[in-house]
Amino acid sequence: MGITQVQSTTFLSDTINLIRDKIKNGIEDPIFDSRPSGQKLCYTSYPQNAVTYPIISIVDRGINQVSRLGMASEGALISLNVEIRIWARNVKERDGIFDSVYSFLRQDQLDATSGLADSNLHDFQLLSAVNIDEDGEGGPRSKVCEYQFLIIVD
Amino acid sequence: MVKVTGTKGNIVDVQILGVGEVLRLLQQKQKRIIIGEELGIVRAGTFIQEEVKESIIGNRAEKKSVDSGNFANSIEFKKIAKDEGRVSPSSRKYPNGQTTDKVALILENGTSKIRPRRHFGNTKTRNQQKIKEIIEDEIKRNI
Repeated sequence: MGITQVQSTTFLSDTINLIRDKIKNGIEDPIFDSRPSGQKLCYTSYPQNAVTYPIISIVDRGINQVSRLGMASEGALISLNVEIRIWARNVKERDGIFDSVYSFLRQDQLDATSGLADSNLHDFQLLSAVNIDEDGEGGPRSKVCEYQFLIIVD
Repeated sequence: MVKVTGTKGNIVDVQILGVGEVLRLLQQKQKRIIIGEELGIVRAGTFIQEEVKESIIGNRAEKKSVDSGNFANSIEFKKIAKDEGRVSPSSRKYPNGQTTDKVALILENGTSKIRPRRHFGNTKTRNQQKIKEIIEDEIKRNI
């Protein structure tokens, strides 16, 4: 059983793992049949070993406390930026995976029992999506997408 | 002149003096707040520009990205709208034809071969509160 709820004391790791699990289960791996064993579609850090593209990396890109939840409260509203980066073999594959990931997360926000909001990830926003294409034949095409979530911790 | 009913049922004339002066004072304050805000944005932008440069030359947590000095020197602040400024690299050319803005994008996000050095993103995260403080100070100083 993976992470289903972002807890106050472990909100960072819970968020990254929850999004990884959601993408892993909700997005089709274009090379599912031919991916070498031991390799996977989603990573929660930039891989150090050789990988087979396409892959998706999910890392945090900054946290800040937006406000406290009241003068006599220890609760807080946390803004967490998450980078979901798509690394693909070509532009078409990169853009296709981006469309799938964005649509999947957008449509997953308000699901009653398992949606992002129900898991304590509120106010889903795509802040930016920047292309980084590496030179040379077969150079990976990547899209760096920054998403923002609000998390209530108490 | 305003007519109001007194406590004994009689009509009392009330004259409010200085309305014009109060309005003028409020308008002056409003102008000073706007000037303070504009100055605050310029001061905060210049501060962030220097912070990004410090990050690039290795005086902050990120790994330094100095080769010729072109990249650090290309960082500049521009006020692009009434309430908006931008800190970004101007497009300078390296001898090999690459430009500083393209290099900035690659260094900021990394590639399959080099790890990201988030000079811009980390500077923003580190200094969000400081930016607010600078603009607030400038507005207070101008009122």
